[in-house]
Amino acid sequence: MKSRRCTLVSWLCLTAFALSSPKAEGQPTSPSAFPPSLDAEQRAGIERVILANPDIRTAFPDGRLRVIISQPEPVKSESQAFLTGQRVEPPSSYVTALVLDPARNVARRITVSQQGNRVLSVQPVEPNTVPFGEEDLIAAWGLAQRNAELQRSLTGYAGRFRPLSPASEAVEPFAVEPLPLRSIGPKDLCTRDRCLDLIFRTPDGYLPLRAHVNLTRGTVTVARRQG
Amino acid sequence: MQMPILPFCVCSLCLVSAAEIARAQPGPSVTFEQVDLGRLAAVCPNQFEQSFPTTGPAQTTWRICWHEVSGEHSLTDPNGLVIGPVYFRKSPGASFVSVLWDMRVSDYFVPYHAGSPRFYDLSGFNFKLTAINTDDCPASVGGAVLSPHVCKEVHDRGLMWKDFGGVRRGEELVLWGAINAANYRYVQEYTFRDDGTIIGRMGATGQNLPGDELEPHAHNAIWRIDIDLGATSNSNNNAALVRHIENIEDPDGKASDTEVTITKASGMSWGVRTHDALSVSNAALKNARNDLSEYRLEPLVIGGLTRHREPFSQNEYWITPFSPAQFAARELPSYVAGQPSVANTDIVLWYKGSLHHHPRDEDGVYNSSHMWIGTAHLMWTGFALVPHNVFDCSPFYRTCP
Repeated sequence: MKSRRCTLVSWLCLTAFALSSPKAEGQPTSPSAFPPSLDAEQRAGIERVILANPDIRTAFPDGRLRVIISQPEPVKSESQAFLTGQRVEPPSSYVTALVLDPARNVARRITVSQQGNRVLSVQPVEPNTVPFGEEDLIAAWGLAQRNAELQRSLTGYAGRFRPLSPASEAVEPFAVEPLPLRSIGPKDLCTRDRCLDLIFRTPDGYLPLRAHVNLTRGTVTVARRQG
Repeated sequence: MQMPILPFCVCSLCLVSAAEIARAQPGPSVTFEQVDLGRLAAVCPNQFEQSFPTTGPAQTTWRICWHEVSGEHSLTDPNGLVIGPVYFRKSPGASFVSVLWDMRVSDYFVPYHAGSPRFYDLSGFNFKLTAINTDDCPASVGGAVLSPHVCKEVHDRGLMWKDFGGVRRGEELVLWGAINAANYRYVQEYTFRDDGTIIGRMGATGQNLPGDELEPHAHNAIWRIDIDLGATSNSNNNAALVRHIENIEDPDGKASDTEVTITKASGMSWGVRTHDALSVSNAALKNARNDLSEYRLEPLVIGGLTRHREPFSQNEYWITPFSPAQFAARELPSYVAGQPSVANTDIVLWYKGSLHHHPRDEDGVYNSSHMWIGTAHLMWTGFALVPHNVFDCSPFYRTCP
């Protein structure tokens, strides 16, 4: 009875959520999402489960790691069953997380059901396929600022550039933007390492150079067109 | 060489859990009449219905759900505009038919001629949809800003048909947003035409690569198309490779079409001379003439289709069984490893389109400070999902006999 009431409540909440969602065209409002994005408490709960997982603890013994959690995705079959009335409860959802130790260049992918925060799978992934984030941009910019050649190239813009995540909608006239770099050459370190190019946007356009940052090794070179 | 990632479980729990997800797939059928509208609104808050023609009695109708993904994990949940579920009704008296569950760009892969850099312009940095406004999406062209990042346009699409007895122009609905990938913008555009055709396109525009402004390169878009075609079940979709075969040495000039059923997950190259199309059908879905209804995936090629060192880029078509854990284009070789069955099951189509960008003066010019001034105009590539035996006769013509 209790679970049925819970189901009914969540169904009503879902419906209310949907009906209250902005749909009027011509009004640019943030779109609704189903399942809703994780709140801080849910995110923390999932992170706890991930960090407590034995496979993760084995792979990352010193605990220095970064956890990237996806938006929740509904289970497809449950969504379809719900839509067709074959399921009373709204569909459950799951998240996928990437766990990365940037220093050791080790990464795992872990899937967690939001129902009871159960770990569904843990898989190894190539570290250089783990998406870069704002942390990497800031770290790369920190390294790049100490590079003498880049300092010379940025003379005249001293202190004006700010790292700008592409996710940001802030207006930044002098922006340092990231371009994640992958290589395939056997001699190219960025075939295995995590590398990021930085480009520099001014109000007039981009500076004709890139700061080539190897985050794994902490090195920086400046790339520009020859001739 | 980039090695495909071979997934394996490092815990016994994984096997149980993967099975747990898989057991639930594929699910029960979804025809629109069976779908509770309130429930659809609950799981799909951003949905709308569009009928054609836009004036007068409706003949065809789309019901389209969409959402934005704007996360930090674009490798397994690619960011951008996601389309689905989508249902189509071919006439006012017909049932809605499920067509798509989830269609989105999996990744953009941009290798430069020098061999490096090789950018993954969607998954690399979790690039997200950029802001739009009424300048992007003016009402004067049928535009409506659906969200801060998504535009809907409904407008004329040119001639639909013209014959001895008359002419008719068609209409279409276009949904689009654009990924902000630093110096580039990638337009993600999805068109739903009055005649049941769906078109997906990538448009690339922006500033040439700073520091290498004149370096030629290719922009590849890889779409993941979770197609669910059916009236009674999505579990029995089948795919076939349809080909036009013609021997130019044949003195009679004969040609033939072949249709080879695809039973195993695989990648396939598109043949420029053979009009290769991937056909998807559902044994239970037939039109009034008792012909099997299909949707055919066909490339919309502008200029050509490039291939690169990376194995995932060496096929235009891929077909895999549905898996909730498979969204990464670069992992496609591992998804088809072992050749899992794709017969009579829930399937996912993947298509790689390319555009080749040889920088030109129209892209920009160096100023006296050697700064690049200018922007590369939009370049396009894409695909179409074309109905085949979905209608009972020519849509928007005369009443079927």
